[in-house]
Amino acid sequence: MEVLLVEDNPADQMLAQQAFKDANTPCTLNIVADGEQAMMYLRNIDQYKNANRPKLILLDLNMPKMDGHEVLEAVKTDPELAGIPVVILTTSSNPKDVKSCYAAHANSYVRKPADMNEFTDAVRDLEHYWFDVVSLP
Amino acid sequence: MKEDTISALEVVDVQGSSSATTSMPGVFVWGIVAICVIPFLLTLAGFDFGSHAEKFDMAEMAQASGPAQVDAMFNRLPGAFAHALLEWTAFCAAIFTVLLAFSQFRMTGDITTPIIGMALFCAGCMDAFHTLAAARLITAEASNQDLIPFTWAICRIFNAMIMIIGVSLFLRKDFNFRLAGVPFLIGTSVLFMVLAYAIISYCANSASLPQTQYPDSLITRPYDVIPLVLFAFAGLYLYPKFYRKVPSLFAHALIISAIPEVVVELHMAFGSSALFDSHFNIAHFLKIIAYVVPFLGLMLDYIRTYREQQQAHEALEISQTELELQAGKLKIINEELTTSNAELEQFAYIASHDLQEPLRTVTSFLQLLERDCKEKVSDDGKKYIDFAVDGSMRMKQLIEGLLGVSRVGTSDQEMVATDTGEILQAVINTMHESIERSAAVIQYDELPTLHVDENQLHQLFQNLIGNAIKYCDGTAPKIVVSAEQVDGVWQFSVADNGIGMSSKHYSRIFQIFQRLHGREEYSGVGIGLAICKKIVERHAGRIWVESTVGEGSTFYFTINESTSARLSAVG
Repeated sequence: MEVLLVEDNPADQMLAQQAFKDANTPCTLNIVADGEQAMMYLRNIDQYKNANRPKLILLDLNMPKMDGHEVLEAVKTDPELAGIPVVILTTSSNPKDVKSCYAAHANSYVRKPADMNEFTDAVRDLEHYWFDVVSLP
Repeated sequence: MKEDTISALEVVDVQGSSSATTSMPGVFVWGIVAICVIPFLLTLAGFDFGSHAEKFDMAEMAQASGPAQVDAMFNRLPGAFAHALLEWTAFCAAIFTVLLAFSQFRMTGDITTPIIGMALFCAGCMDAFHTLAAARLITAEASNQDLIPFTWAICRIFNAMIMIIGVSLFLRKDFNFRLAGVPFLIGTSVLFMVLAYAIISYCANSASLPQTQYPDSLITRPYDVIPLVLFAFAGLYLYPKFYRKVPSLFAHALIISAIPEVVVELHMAFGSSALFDSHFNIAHFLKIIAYVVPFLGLMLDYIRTYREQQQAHEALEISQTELELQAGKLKIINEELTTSNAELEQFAYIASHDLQEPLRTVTSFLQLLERDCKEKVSDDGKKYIDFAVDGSMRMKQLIEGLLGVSRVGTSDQEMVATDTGEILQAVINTMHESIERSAAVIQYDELPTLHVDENQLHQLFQNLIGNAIKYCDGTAPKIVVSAEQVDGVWQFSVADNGIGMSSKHYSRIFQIFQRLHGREEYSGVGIGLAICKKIVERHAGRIWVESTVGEGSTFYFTINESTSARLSAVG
C-alpha cells in the first residue's frame, strides 16, 4: 500500500512518519517536499522514473513553488491521475479552504490534530477507512 | 398747539434705529415735528402762505386779447390750482402707500398692513373726490363756497374714523391673526369702499350742504374740531395700543402720522377763516406729510426686511458650505475607520490562523519527547514536559478562540430569512450527547423567522445552551428559550437554572478570555460569550444578562433585521 505524502515542513514530515509507525499500518509512506516534486513523482519523471503509483495521496496545502491547491487541480484534471484519492492534510481550518478543495474534487479534508495521540488515531482511522472499508480502483 | 405736539412725543418712544427694527429713527420723528411746527412759526414771523387772487375787471377783460383773457382768468384762481396740487399730491401718496402695503402683505403675510393701507387709500379717494369737485372737474349740485369746506370736513372726519375703525379691528381681544387671510382683507376693503362711496354720493347729489365755515368765530371751522379730537385720541391712545399689540415700523409710523394730522386740524379749526388763505394752504401741505409718514414707515420696513433677508441668506450660504466641508471630512474619517477595522479583523484572523502551525509542531514533539524519554527523564523532568504540553494545549485553545471571534467579523455570509426555531432544533440535535449526559431539558416557544446568518446563529445558540448546561451545580439543567417583539425588534431569551452570577460581573463575562472560574472548576477559555456578543452585534443587536446567584441566569439578545441588512450592504 503505497501512500504519497506531499509536505514541505520537515517537522510535519517527521510527525507523519512517527504517526504511521505508531499506527502500525502496513502502508509504505513516500514523502516529497513540494508540489513540483509531487507531479514529477506521479508522472515518473527524472529521479522518480521507477516510482510506484500511490494508492492514496496525502496533500498539504501551504507549500512553496506549487501549493496544494495547484497540485489538487493538476491531479484531478489529469485523466491518468484523477482516479487516485487525494486526502487534504492541513492545519488550516478555514471554511473557504474546505469549500474550494471539495469543489476541486478532493476526496476528503483532514485537519492535522495538534495532539500527537489524536494524530496517530487519525492516521489509523485513515488507513482503516481507505484500505479496509473502501474499495480502490 | 405745542402742548399737544409734546404730549404726542411723550407717547412716541424715540429710540435709536439700531436697537429694534420696530421703531422709526429718532431723526425722522424730530424731522416730522419740525416740518409740522415751522410753517406756524413762519406765519408768526410774518410769512403769508395764502393764495391771493388778482382783481378782475370784467370791462377791461372784454377789451383784452384772448391769451390775456385766459391769463387773467388763471390769475383769478391761484388758490384753486394750489389746492388741487396739494390735494392731488396727498392722494398720490395714499396710492403709493396702499400699493406698497399690499406688496408687503404678499411678502410677509401680515394682514394689518394692507387693511390699514386700504383705509388710508379710501380716505385718499375721498380727498380725490373733494379735489375733483372743488376743481369742478366733476359736477356737483352745491356751489363751491359750501361744497369745498363741507367735503373737506367730511373727508377729515371720514379719514379719522376709517383709520380708527381699521386699527380697532385688530385690537379686539379675540382677533385671530392666523385665520384672517385674503377673504377678510377683501371683505374689509369692500366695506371701506362702500362707505366712502356712499358718503361721496351724498355730497355730490345734495343741492344744499351745511355751512362749515364761520370766519368771525374763534373756531372758524367747527366741523374740524371733530377730527382734531379723533386724531388726538388715535395718536395718544389707539395707535400706541395697536403698536404694543403688533410692533412694526408701520405701526410706529402711524403713531407719528398723528402729529401732522392733529396740526392740520389745529390750522383749519382755529386758523383758517377763508378758502385758500395761509392756514388753509399750510394745512393742506401738512396733510401730504400725514400720508407720507406711513408710506415712509413701509419703505423703511421693506428696506430693513430686504437687508435682513440678504444677511440671513449669506449666513445660510456660509453655514451650508461649512456643513458640506464637515460632511466631507466625516465621510473620509468614516472610510478610514471602515478600512482600518477591516484590516484589524483580517489581521487577527490571519495571525491566529498562521499561529496554529508552529503550535502544532511544539505540542506534537513535546508529546513525542515525553513518550520517548519516559525512562531517561526524572520525575521532575516528566512534570516539566507535562506543564509544557499543557501550556501549548491552552495556547491552542486560546488561538482557536481568537480565530472563532475574528471569523464572526470576516464572514461575508448573506443574511437569509431563516426559521430560528429550526436552527435551535439543529443545535439541540448537535448537542444531544451532552444534553443526555446532563439530563438537560430544553423548552422553547414559537420562534420567529428572521434574516440572519444561519451558521452564526447556530453558534450563538450552541454557546448559550452549552454554557447553560456546563454552569450548573448538579441539578438537571432546565433551559427555556423564548422570543418576543419589543419596540419593533425581536428579543430572545435563554433562561437557565444554573449557578447564576453577581451583577458586578454582568459586563465582564462578554469580554475575550474573561472568566469567572478557574479551569479546574469549569472548563473553557472565556471565548464563548465574546463570540456571542460579536455575532449579536453583526445582527445589529444587543446582548445582556440578568441573573441571581444560586438560582440561574437569563441571557437576552436582540436581532434588528432592518439595521443589520443596511450594515451588511455597506461592509
